[in-house]
Amino acid sequence: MLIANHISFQYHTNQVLESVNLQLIEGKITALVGPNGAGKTTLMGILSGLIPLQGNGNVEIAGFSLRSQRKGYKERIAFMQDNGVLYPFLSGYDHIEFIAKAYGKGKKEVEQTIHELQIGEFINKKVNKYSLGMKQMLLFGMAHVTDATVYLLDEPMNGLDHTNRKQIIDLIEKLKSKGKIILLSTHLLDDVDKIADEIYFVKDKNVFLSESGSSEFITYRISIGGEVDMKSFFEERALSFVQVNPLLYEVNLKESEVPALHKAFVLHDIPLLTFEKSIATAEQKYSDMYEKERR
Amino acid sequence: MGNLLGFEFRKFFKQKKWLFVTIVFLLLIIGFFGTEWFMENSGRNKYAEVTERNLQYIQNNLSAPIPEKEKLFLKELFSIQEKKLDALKANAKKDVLRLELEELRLELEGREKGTGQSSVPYTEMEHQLELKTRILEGDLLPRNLKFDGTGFVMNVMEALLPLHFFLLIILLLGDITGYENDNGTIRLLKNTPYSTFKIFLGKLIVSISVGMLFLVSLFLLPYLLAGVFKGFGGFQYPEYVNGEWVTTGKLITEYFFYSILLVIFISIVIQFVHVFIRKGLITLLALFILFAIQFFIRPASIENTPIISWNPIVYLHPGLTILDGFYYYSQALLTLGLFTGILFIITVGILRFNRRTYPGL
Repeated sequence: MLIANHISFQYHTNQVLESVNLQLIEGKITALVGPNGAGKTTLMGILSGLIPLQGNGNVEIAGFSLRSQRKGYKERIAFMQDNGVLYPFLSGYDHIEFIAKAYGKGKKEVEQTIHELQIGEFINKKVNKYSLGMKQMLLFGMAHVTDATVYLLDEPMNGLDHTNRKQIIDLIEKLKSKGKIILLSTHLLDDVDKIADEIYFVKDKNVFLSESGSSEFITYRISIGGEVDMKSFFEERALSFVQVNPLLYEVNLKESEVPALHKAFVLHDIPLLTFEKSIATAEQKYSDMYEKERR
Repeated sequence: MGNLLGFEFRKFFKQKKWLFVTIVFLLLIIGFFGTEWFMENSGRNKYAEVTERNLQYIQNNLSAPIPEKEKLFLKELFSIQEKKLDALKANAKKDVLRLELEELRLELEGREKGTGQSSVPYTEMEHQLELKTRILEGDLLPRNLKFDGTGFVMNVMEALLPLHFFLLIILLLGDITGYENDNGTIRLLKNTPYSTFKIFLGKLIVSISVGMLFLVSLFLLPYLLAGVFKGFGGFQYPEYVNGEWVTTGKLITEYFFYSILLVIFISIVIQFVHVFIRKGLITLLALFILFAIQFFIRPASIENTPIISWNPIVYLHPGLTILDGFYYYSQALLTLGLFTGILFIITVGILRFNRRTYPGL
């Protein structure tokens, strides 16, 4: 588990982050979402150990503290940065080989990563000959070869075509199945819906975990086949609800209450058409979080 | 650490800036020898003109009413100068040298008899006599390859060593850290489990090694040239340096030892400067720091030499064995060690906590 406590960051007079706390769990993909300049990359930089900690903040991975056991901490974390870190005059192979050795890995792991990412075609060319997509694949390969416990992926799908994007998503899910901790920042909210188990929104110098991941109440969309007095039906059972139209309702329920409600529909002969979870997409949540406020 | 060093060397050689700097350096060497050749030709012409004027002057004196013994002296001098003019016109260097020696001997004899014409001090004339005799006997490498003075090694090194320091070390080695900070690639290194201390140490080792490599090639040049012109027979030719005689071999070795210290020192200063200063100001600032620091590595015995000089030869202490040289420079080494240690710590600190290289900041 990665536990970050009281992470703050100030640059000159600009307070970028203020007492951020977050926990990342093994086998889960967490997305870090926020508008440009919100502090996503800064937070990742701090978690990676690249940007020095300020104040009394600290981060730990499996008991290794960034403050007191820096080497042990850094051996357990891989950070996929932007392509500005690549040396244009070196080959992709030079980069992957160096990172692999830095993490105590050998030629076997390098070859394996090249094979899994299918980047053998261009890996021996100099980076200045790479397209944006190739650079992204190389950067992902550099993180992948480390076999670290935690992966911080900054915009991993940026500039990738459909095939490479799918390939990266598959590899991230493969890492998840191996029990790795994954935090990825992205602007592509469709990808968040596809792969993220939970979302941290960066707002007001802090992070907020998306409700769907933490609340015990889930919103269900219920549609019925005829006009019935549903208002009294829900009020009798003290359920909070919203009438979308005369035949469609959104009801907040605990998962344990669902079977009893189903039975009640049958007992009262209410023609039930659909009874399904109303899952807000990342885009809707993003809109709720940032755009509504702006309006 | 091996991985880090390998990566640093790979970066350095694959960046190919060294190739460009080496070509420029070679062009400068060619330029240096070209200038020497040009100077030699124009110098010979001027020498011939002076000799002609001397002949005219002697002839005038001979027609004047002067004592017989002086007339005899001038006649002999006229004969030598006449032959010297012919030799100069024919570019017969050894003949010129031989005739210069004859002239010197005549002048020294004349002084004893009270007929000498030259105003050059007696000791200087004796010194010149010794130098020219040794050059003619093949015991001395002449300066400029033109048989008119000593200090071949000195001449080559004086011209090339400052170029090495400023062209190679400042422009080339400074980029080892400067490039990373300018382009943000330092983040790749800092993102690994390697400590900032190791990262900077790696850069410093590469910087010093490359500096040494170029230094060795540079020092091979006078060895090779001396060998080509005088045979590769031990380099026992003496040179007159800072008022003392020292053999060519020892001079080059001491020069080399002294240069190593400078390479280490300049390397760390340059890496230090490049950590926090962007291109443009770097070289300028480095030069100022070097100006200031040179004072501390100046051997105490040459207090009277100018404090500010780009040419390390003024700090050279000749006439010592290599072991003596090490002892002699140990004081400078300690001062150097202290400075480099402090600079090293400051540089690592800046590299570790410099936030300007992070994206978005």
